[in-house]
Amino acid sequence: MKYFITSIMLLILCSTRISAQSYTLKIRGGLSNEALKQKMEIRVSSLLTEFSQATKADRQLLLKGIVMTEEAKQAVKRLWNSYHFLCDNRVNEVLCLTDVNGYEVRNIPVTLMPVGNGYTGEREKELTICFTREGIISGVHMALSNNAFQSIVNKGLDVTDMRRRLEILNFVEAFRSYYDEKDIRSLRQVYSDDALIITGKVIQRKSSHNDSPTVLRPEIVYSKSNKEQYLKSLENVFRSNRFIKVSFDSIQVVRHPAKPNFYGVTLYQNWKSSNYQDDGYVFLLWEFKDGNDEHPVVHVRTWQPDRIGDRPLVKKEIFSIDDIFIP
Amino acid sequence: MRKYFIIIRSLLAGAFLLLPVAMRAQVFKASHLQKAYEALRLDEQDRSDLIIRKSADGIIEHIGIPLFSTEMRTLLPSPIYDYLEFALLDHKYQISKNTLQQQRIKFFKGSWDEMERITPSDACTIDNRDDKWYIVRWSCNNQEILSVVVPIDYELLANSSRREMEQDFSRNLKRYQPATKQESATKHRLNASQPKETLSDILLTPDHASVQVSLSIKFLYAGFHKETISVTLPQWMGFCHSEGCTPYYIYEGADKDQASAMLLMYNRSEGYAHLLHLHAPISQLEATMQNYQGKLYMFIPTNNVADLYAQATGKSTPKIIK
Repeated sequence: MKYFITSIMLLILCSTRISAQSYTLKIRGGLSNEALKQKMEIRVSSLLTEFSQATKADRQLLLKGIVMTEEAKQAVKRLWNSYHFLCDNRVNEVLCLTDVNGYEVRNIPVTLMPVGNGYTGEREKELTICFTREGIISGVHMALSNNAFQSIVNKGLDVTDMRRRLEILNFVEAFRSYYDEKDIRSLRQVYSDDALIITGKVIQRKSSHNDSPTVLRPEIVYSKSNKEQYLKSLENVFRSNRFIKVSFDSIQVVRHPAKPNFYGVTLYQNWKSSNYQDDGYVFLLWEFKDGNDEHPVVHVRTWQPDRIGDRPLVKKEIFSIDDIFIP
Repeated sequence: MRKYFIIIRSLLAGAFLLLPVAMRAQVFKASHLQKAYEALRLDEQDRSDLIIRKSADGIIEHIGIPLFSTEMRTLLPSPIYDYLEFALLDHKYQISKNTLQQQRIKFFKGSWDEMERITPSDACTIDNRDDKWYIVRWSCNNQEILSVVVPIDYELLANSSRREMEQDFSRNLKRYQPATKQESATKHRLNASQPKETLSDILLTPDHASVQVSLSIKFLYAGFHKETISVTLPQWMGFCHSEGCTPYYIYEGADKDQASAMLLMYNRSEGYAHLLHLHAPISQLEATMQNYQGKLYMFIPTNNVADLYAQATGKSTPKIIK
């Protein structure tokens, strides 16, 4: 009994302490499902409270009890390594927006507490929080302003490395346009002579155990081709399609940790042409050869479908620079 | 002889017939406008239901079905106005060969039919979502009647291709006349032993008359084509400013001969940046006439980058041996 009373007392003390430091979010419109709205409010409120508590204690985020996708947790933790942030308002009233993937609340004012002394940009920012259709937090972003782009640019410690990353975005964009323009001559110049092309496709493989019936399981199989084989088949594709429109999204640029002239680019590709359409992940391994910054070449190109059957690919299944061994 | 006379007469008659057409010849800012102009025979009829905007020198800059008020265009300039007004025209009169451009407009609420009923007097809001999307909403009596999402993609918003835009960029930069320099009370800090600060002063305040900088820029076009173009610094900065770009200065370093820096000209509303990589001779940094060499990467998209500084995790076993 004594333990029970002590526990209750402790609980009351703790809850008073927590509520004194809590931050809340109120959705004041844009969502008619009351139950979902309440879930989202509770989830964001606990996240904002955790941001503030972790900032005040100058510690890592504890996100275990917060309903977020694993990707969102990882992304917030990465952001936290550069900036901590403190909510400006105890109560934040926002509108809920609906988008193609779920919901979004915006304009939650925060003050940045940069980790280290390198940040000289704006301190006053606004958070945007995204949700899945089920109301699970799927992303936390800081709204970009004019100056935010500058801070992204300044994040590169090595300025030459930063320039090359920007140049790579330029080369990736030119590379994309060669497909739109069916420019096989330029593609021939981009790919190195020993380029390796890996293309994945989903097949239905039969699998059966001794007693159980045969079932079809989707899986990706990969085929390999060299530069000439790939360009030859691409020429056929160019000939048989009246138009081709390729778009790239979610581009990530990684410098090889041991070979500073090699950069890996992973991106999401949407291919639309007059007789075919698909979505998938492309990985490109670029090399700046001996200081030639005007003409980097592609050594490896991989393409994977974005899903196996109904299941979207998870991050570790997508080719990246970690999958490449450069002797 | 009679045969030659007939031929000459026919040629003359042909020339006279062509003359009014040649006199009426229009110049267009981009090829999609010419296509629309010709498809709708706008030289032959008065279409008060359409908007046709010309620049001060008579170049047709925009054709579309009016959706936005003049006040809105003036108060909140955005590339989305011309884009959506042309897209609606294109949809209604099927000017383009395919609907690829139109497919990139996503309707949250309503459809093309509702868009055709919109007038410039309808209440409208435009939201830039994370520099990735424009969300345009129209409402009537506080009820949303139409909302569309358009990616902030520079090619899409310009109704053009990267290659065409590169050509337009270099041609228009060459033509651009910067405003005449004014003598300023503030002088540049010119100090060859402080190249970072000196270059920052010179590059970010190009209108000062105390230093004249010419840039010899190597343009790196798509398709491995290169061209070197000489412009003045005010010409470069003024032209980029007229495009809606904000300059960011990034100092790279110096050796005993030259200092290197970058000017990143960022156009937030259209989703691209120009990257100009410059080399300035240290020996010229205190001179009144300076000449820098540069390299230009013309269109770097800024709307589709998830992580420019992603890190290798080094956790998985390599699957591909290169």
